Amino acid sequence: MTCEQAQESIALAVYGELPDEERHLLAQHLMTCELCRAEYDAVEGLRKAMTLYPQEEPSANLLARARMRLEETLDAVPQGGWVQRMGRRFRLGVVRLSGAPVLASALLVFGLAVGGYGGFKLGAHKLHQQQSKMILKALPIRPAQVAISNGNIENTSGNLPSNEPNDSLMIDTAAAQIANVSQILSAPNSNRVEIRFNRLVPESISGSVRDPYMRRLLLLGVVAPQNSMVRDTAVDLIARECAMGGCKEGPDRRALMEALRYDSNPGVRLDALAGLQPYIATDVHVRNAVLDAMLHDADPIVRVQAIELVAPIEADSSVRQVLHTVAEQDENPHIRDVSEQVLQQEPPVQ
Amino acid sequence: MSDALSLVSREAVASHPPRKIVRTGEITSETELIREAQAGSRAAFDALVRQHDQAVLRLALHLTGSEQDAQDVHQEAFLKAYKSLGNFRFECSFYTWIYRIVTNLCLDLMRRRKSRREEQAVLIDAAGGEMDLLVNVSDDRAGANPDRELERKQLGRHIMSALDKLTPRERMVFELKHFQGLRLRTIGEMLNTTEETAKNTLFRATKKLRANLATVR
Repeated sequence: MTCEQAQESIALAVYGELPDEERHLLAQHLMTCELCRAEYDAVEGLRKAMTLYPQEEPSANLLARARMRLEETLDAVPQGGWVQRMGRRFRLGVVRLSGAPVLASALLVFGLAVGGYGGFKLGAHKLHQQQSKMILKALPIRPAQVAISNGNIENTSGNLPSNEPNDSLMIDTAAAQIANVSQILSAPNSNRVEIRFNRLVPESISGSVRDPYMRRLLLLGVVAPQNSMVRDTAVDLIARECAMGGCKEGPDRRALMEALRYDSNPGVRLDALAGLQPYIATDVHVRNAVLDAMLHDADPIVRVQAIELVAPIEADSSVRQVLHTVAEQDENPHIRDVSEQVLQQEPPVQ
Repeated sequence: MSDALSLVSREAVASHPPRKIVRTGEITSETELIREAQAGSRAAFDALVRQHDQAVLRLALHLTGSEQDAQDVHQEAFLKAYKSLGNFRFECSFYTWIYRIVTNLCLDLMRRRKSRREEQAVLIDAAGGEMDLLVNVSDDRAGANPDRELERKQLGRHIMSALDKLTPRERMVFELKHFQGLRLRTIGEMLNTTEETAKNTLFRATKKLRANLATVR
């Protein structure tokens, strides 16, 4: 430290404003420099001399006079109207907000969070409503009177007693979301049928097999995956209706063709085949399904039945070709014989 | 010499954390008082005045050497604070803020008085106003022991004379540092300047004082 730097630091050191590091350097310098040490003593002497002229407290009398005078002055200051006060409060609010950016940020984040949560809840609520509407749409409701007049429908569900006149909520069971059809009971020598099916709770309904609703339930029974008896009965009933010529081109025939092609139960396939018989000659789709069964069905009884069914058909090249194929290639010699016989009975194609 | 350095008294640092004020049985922080006063509460402002007016009056009295001037400074400072309290944004302590107002008022007063006295010095020559001022001060502070009081008066007269030869700004920095014990950083804040400038000003003030008082000793 040079003498010039030391002289500048001495006053700060005396008044305790010199950093510790510089204090140390100054102390080292003062130990070696007589001139600076004298300067230090002089400044220190000045500080001590100043204590002889202390800053005294104002007298109580002076303080009281000053306070009284100030109060009078402040009382004379106009306070302003409520508009000014409101303006002042508003300015203060703005100042506080700008002086507290953290608070402002926290408010912003809180607002975003609440808004986001509210939006989420609202969206979830709307989605729930939409889903409810969709379910209600999927479960169309019709007046009980219509249901009753429409085929003597009986609802055995405990929740929905059908004999109450005020029961306005009769579920359209055919179009409803039905889990499966569990049982079909048909009365002998009658077109009455009782179908048991499952929705949210097991239910049953009874009515005429020709009733469109009952028919649609029967169609659902055709594809009942777990219950072959249901499929068998459903196909049998539909097939009986179809065999009597009651099946127009549409879902009944398609259901029988599906059953013929894909049902795992040979009995069901035979029933389907029987139901399709009246339409083999006129409906090419039915004919193709029967020919497929003749060629590919795993059960020889079904194949033979199919051959016998197509036998009366005259002069259909596709039938003849299939019969030829079966007669030559079928693994079962009985089927080959039957095919051969059918071919021999058929007149040659013109 | 290192002993001498170690013996240098470090004045209590004038740190002013938010104070707790007991008022009608409840404890209210200074910040709350300021907010209430900003909202228009006269009682809150009066509480703030009570908290600081004695220190303000002491500083003004010591700087001006006159009770009348000290009262003027006191009144004007708090009136100004009352009117512009809405602009106080808590960027510094209320103590610093009110002292900034007081020091500005005192600097203005000292500048006016200095120019007037220089004019008087030319006219009145050696008989001058310095004595009048000292008389004013000593009248209010009479002690019990006449001899000791006389000695103190003489020393005080010399010191006051030396202080009076400082520029208003040097006088203010020295006053705030030596008598009020404030940190130079705080003094810089009050005078709207830097700590470095305050250090240089203190250095110049001590140098001048030492030169002025050297002949006395």
